[in-house]
Amino acid sequence: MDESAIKVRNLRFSYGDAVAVDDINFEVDRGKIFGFLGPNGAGKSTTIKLLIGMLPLQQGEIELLGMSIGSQNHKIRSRIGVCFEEKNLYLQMTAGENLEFFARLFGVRRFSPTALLRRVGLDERSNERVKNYSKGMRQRLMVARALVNEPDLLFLDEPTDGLDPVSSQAVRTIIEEEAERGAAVLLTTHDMFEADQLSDRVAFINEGKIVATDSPEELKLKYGRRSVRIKTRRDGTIDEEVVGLDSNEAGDRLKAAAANPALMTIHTEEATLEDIFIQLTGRGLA
Amino acid sequence: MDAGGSRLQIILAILRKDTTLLFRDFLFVFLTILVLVVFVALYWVLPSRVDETITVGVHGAGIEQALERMSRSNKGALDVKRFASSRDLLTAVGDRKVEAGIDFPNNFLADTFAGKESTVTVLLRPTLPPEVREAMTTMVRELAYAIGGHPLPVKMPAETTVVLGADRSGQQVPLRDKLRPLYAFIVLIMEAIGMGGLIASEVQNRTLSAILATPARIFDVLSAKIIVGTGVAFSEAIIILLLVRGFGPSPLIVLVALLLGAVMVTGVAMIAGSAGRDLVGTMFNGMLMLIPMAIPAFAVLFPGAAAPWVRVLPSYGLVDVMINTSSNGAGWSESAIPLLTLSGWCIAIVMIGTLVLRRRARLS
Repeated sequence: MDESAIKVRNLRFSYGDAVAVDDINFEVDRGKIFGFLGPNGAGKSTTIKLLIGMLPLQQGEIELLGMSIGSQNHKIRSRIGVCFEEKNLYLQMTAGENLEFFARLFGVRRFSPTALLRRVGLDERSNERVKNYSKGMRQRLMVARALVNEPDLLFLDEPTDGLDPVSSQAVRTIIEEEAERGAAVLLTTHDMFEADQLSDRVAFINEGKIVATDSPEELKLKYGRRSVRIKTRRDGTIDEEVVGLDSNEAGDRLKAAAANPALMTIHTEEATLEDIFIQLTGRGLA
Repeated sequence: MDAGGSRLQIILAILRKDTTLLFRDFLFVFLTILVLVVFVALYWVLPSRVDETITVGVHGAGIEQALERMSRSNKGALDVKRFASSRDLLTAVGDRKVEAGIDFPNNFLADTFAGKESTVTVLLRPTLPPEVREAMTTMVRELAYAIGGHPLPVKMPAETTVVLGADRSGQQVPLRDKLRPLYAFIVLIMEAIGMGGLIASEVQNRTLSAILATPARIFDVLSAKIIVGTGVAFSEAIIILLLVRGFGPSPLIVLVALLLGAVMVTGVAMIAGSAGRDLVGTMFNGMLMLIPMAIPAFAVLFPGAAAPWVRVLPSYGLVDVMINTSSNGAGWSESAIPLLTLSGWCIAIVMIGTLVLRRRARLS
């Protein structure tokens, strides 16, 4: 069996004269989480719409689960789950009814929403109409809806948007569980901590182009600086010093710092994914 | 987990969801019930017969026998009331106690016998239609001849009177029956707005995108919308026509016309819902299209044939079939052309609705 769940080759898409996706290539293996990072308008949503067949292919190739988008869209869709950025739920229906409706569209027989709602902490309010739900509850229901058909491929667009830290962590756990089950996950997020924590590999997209693709660790090694930050206190004032680990005197400096009675802390200085994105594109992710 | 569904299962799932959402829309349910109750009440409150009798007040001396003869010969059409003085007659006309008044001078009988001319005053209310004014003048002439013993100079033998179609003399269609097509059409409009609102919210809330990210196709969504929209509108229209006894002697023809009407307003709902940004926008778009379509239903309330431009409106066939079958006893042969025209409009409107909604789904 081919390990690749997503194969994208030379994908290009434009709205009139405006190029939204410009010759991008990437692959996502089964059971892996792929972070797709970029600022608003970078081309993330267009890429996802192309991947799930909601926009027609103009140029390039997309293969999902060994099937081609364009000719086998409907077969593919029965095996994917999508969590949209917009909370596109039926507000006049209960959480249970929302899930049951989508389960019927997927042709899932013997479906009970209870277990899924329990997974996202909504089982006790399953009979309540979604219009009475908070933003966070709706987001959790969106995640649950993406899982009704136990998808082999999950597209999650900002899945923790609007969630409190506890709920965010619960959703991250679900994402990891889905990957462990064998589903490939394509995750778009603004939360660099989340992307770093969850993703096996990430791609930075800017102005329709992928500017870097690798594991978070490799990207940090490749683009980040290896250094430590040393803090000392002398006569009530705090001094900071950054020591590059690749410099010749790094060993001596660290020994001296460790022996210094005024030493407060020594921290490794690791570049964040956001730092790397800024370094690569000259702009932030917000 | 066992997965795999057919097109039919998908359409049924969307159909069930749409029906649930439609009947959870409080405004839609409230307006639907309100329209049903008001129209049925209005139908039963309005008179069931048209009073064709003209009440005429008369003042004059010595003309009793002639008036009696005239009343007898025009029984059911003319009700003659006598007044003691010209002043009483004038007051009765002013107070609308009689439609018109004929005031004969005191020497009318003597002058007529003597072959002299005399002046008869005819009192008319300003709102009286021209045909009644003309009838009053004719009546004076007829009375004069009857009293003078001379026959009318023009003879009108009964065998030359030809009535085209069913002779409805004495059985004019009452207003409440003329209102039936309007009742049915307004119910269809209500359903169209409800359905349009549902489509608009589906597009605006992007739930349509969520559906299209599953094995469901746009064809399934459109099929379910057409079935639900048509089904609900058709059912409501049947209920109202049953309650106002609107099916007449050819219920099957009326049912076919209603079904086509329901399909047509569903097409309008698809156009309005796709173009509308919210429920208010949908209502505005819907009304923009549906109010002109209601014109034929209003046109039948007034005497005379509908203007040529009214006849080309999409809804004309529906109203034409309903009024002609329920009130004039028209059959399949008379209803064929309006039904075919209505079918043509239905196909065109539903096709436009489908294209607009499909395009909107792609853009969302």
